[in-house]
Amino acid sequence: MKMRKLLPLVLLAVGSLFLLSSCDAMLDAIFPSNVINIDVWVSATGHADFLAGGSYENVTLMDSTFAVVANVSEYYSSYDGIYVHYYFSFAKLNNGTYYLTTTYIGQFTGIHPTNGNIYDSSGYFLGNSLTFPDRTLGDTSGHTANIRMLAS
Amino acid sequence: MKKLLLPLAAILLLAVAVPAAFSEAELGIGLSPGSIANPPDPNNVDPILNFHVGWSWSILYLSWDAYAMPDYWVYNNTTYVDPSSGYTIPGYYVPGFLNMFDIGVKILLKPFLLYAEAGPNMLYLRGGTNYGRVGVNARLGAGLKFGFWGINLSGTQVFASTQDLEAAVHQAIHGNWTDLTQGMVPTLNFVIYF
Repeated sequence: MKMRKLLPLVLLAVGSLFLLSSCDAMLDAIFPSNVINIDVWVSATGHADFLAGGSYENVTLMDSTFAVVANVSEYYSSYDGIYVHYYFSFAKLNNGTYYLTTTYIGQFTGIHPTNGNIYDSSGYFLGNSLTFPDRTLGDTSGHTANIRMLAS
Repeated sequence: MKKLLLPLAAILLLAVAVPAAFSEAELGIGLSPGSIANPPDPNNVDPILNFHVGWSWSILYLSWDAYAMPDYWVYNNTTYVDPSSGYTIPGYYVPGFLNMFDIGVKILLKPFLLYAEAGPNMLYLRGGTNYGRVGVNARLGAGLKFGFWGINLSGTQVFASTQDLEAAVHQAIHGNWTDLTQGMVPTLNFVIYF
């Protein structure tokens, strides 16, 4: 009988569920799916040892509290004659603000200072953070960010 | 459609005929194994969450279940071959809610519970759209009810159309339950009754 008194609450919960069943925020909470694709541009003249086996690029992804979410290193992916490109991809990220730093580690030239500047894919400077959902850096769903970074 | 109306009318008549009619609302949450996609994605094996709302009057049972389906499942179930061109049309690679609206019977022989229901389903895709095609599903379930709460295990079979469901039921009547039960998605439900 006590449970019957909770019926208004039940109706409220049912109404909420109906609304939530077509709510993207709920799906985002269940299936975190944001993706950051990064193309790190490294000047070949300033980093002449990029072809060396011991040279690589490191990217650290941090959340809004600067806690490290992921730390990944990659060898070079392509060279366009002027810049060396290193590609990174971070998937299954929750909504929120992220910071990134990139560091070049050369086998002969040593560690180059980190750089946290973020640019869009056409090279427009964005700042040093990005926040999901973002409908300007990828597809219109707001869950993909294609960005560029420049190594120091 | 007539074939579906007949059993629905029979259920309604049965519900009216049962003398000790009572109504009961229920709210639940359930989990299904994540590896139910066909083919399963080895990188996505997290359990599938579903939300349940139900109402019963006598043995008449109405329910709404929203299954939070992962992107790979939505993709597999929205990809199809265009019959005119023969090309495969890729589906939507986004998560979604599979909303199932069912009607059926629920029989309570305390503490045991049995139910069977069927109805249409609609797939909501993240981004604000509903998938154009309306599917059909059938569900069988059994469980236990202890006062205001209970647990039950259900199996849900999703069909592309009412014709597919009718064919499966027809086969079951003739003793071949394969189409109705093979590929059923098992779900463990926790339910609160009001």
